[in-house]
Amino acid sequence: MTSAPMFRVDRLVTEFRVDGGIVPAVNGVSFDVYPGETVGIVGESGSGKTVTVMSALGLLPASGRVVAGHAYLDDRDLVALSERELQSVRGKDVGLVFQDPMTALNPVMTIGTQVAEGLRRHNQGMTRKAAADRAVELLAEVGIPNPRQRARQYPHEFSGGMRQRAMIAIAMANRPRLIIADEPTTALDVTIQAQILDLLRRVQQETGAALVMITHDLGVIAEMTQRVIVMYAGRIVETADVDTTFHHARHPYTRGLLQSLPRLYQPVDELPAIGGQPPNPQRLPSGCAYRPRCPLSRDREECHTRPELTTAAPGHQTACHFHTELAEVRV
Amino acid sequence: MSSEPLLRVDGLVKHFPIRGGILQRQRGTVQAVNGVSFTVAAGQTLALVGESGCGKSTVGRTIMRFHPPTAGRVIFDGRDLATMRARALRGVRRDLQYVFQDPYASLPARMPVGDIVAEPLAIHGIGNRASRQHRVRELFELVGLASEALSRYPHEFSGGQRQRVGIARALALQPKLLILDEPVSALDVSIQAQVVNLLARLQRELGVAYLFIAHDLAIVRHLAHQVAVMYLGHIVEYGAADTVFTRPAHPYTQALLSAVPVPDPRLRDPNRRRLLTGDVPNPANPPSGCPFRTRCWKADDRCEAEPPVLQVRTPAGAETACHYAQEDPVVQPAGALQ
Repeated sequence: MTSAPMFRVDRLVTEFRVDGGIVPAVNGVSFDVYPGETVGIVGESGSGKTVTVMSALGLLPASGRVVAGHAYLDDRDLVALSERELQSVRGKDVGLVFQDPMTALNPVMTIGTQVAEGLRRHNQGMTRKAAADRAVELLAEVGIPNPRQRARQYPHEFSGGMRQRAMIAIAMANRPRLIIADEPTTALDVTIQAQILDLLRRVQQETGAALVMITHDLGVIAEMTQRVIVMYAGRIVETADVDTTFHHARHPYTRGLLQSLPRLYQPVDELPAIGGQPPNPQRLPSGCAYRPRCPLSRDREECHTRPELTTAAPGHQTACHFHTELAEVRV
Repeated sequence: MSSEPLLRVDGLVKHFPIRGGILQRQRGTVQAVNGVSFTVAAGQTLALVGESGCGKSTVGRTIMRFHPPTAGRVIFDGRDLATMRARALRGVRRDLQYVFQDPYASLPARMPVGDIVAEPLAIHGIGNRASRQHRVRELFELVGLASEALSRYPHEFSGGQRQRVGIARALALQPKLLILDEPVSALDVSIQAQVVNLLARLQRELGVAYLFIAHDLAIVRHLAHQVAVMYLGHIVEYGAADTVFTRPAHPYTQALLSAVPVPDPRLRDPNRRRLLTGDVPNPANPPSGCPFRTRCWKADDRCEAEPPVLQVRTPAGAETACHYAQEDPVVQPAGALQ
C-alpha cells in the first residue's frame, strides 16, 4: 500500500479491575488501517477484539483502563485525548455502529432528532432546520422508507434492521473517514443481515471511508473484508489479506476456527472441532495462550515461550513458533 | 413410512391475546403459530428453521405444553398432548425433554451440577440415591464432562460445559425426543462445533429423536434429516434436508439460503444474493393470502387472495406453500470443492 495509514493502534494494553484483581484484556496489540480499506477483526468472546477499539476511542467502561500504548488517528494519539476532545472525534472523524442499536440510541428522542443532533454537534452554525432536512435525506440514503414520517418516530417504533439503518445514518452523517462497526449484524436475522451488509458496503463505496468490522462471524469476514486480524486471548495471533487468511492461514487457531465451521455447501459427518475451552483471561497459560488446545504444539518446549508476531510472507504475520509446518498443509 | 411417527403435530395453532388499557381488555391477537403440521420419526432430526418471530420456538414450547395450544393435535407416542391433563403430562415428560438456548439462565445457580442432572431422576422416583449417583456419572461421561465436576456449581463452567450439563439433565430419563431450542447459538464458534458433534453422537448412540429449533442454517445442514422452514407462523417449505438445501422451491427458502454469508472469500458474489426488501410483517396483523407476499418478488393478485396450501408441487418432492413454487438448484459454488 502506498499511502500512509490513517488509523494506527500501537502496542495497546488494556486492563479491567474486577473483584479478584486485574484482568488483562488487551495485551499489546498493534495494527494499521489504511484509507478506504476494510479490515476485519475476528475472535471469540474474551479475545479482546471489542476492547481494543473501545480503548482507542475512550469508550471503556469505568472498570477498564488503557495501561500502555497509543491509537493514532493520523497524527493525533486518541489515548492521550481528554473525553471532551474525544467527543469531537467520535461521530465526526470516526463513525460508530454497535451491535445493539436499542442501547446505543436514545429511547426518548425521535430518530430524526438524533441524526440531526449528530450533525449539529460537529457543524457549528448549521441551523436546526437544515439539520432536520439533512437527517431526512440521510435516512432515505440508508434505505428507510417514508423517511420524513419515520424521522418523527422513536427507536422502539423501528424494527431491529431499521434501527441499525438509523445507526448507520448517524455514523455516516458527518462523512467520517473511518467507520468502526462492532458486531453490526449479530443481533439481526440473516435476511436482514444481508441487507445491512449490503448497505455498509454501499456507504463505504460512496463515502470512501475505511471500515473496521469487528465480528465473530467468519462468513461476514469473508464477504466484507480485505484484510483480517485474528485475535485470541487479548493478542493478535495472525493477520493477512482475506484470501490468505482463509486459504493459507499459518496459525493453528485460525486453521482450527475455519475447519470447525459447519458449511452450508459441504456437510460432513463430524466437524473437526477445536478441543478444550477458551482460556480464562485471569489465568492465561504461560507462553502461547493457545498451547493447551493446539494440535500442532503437542506441548513442545518452545510453546512455553510466548511467540511474537513474525512475518510469514509479505503482509502476512503469525504468532506461532511452528508456522512453517503449516505452510505445506492445504486448507 | 407406514408406521406411526414418534411425534405428529397436526394443525397446531397458538394465538396470544394482546391486552391493554386499565381493564386489560383484549385488543388483538398475535398469531404466533397458524396451523402447523409435521412429523418427527423415531431416532431422526427435524429442524424447524426461520427467523425471529416466525413461531418456531412457540411450536416447541406448545408441544411441551409450557402453554396450551389454541387448536390442533400433538400426538406423541400415540397420545394427544394437546388435550392431556397435567397429571398425565408428567408421565409423558419422561420421554419428552427440552433443552434451552441459554445455558446461563436455564440451570439453577445454587445447585451443584451433579444434583441438577440427578434431579429429574429424583422427581420421577427412579432408583435410590446410590443408583442415581451412578447414573449421573454415566451421563457426565456420555456428554464429555469430567466426573470431578459433579460437585461444582454452574457459574464455574463455561457456556459450552453448561450446555453439556443441560443436555445431560435432559437425557437423564432416557427420553425418546429432545426438543432443542437454539442449543448452540449462545456459544462461541470453537465450542459450537463440539456441541454439534456431541448431539450427532448422542443420536447415533442413543437413538434419541430431535426437534431442532434453530436459525443457523449451516448447523441445521449438519444435523437435520428433515427440515421445515417457517415464516410468520406457517411452514412454507417442508421436506428432506438434502432436498430443501439443494433444491429449495419456495422463494423465502431461496432468499434465506442465499443470505447466509459464505466463509470463503473466493466465493464472494454479491449477485448470488436474493436481497429481500423490508421487514417481516407484524404477526398481530398478518397480510391476507400468502404470508410472504409482501416481500416476495413473485407475488401477484392470486397471492393476495388465496393462501397457498403446503403440498408437493415440484419434482424433488418437498412440500411448498407457494403458488409459483419452482426449484432453484443451489449450485455448489465453484471452488467450494478443494
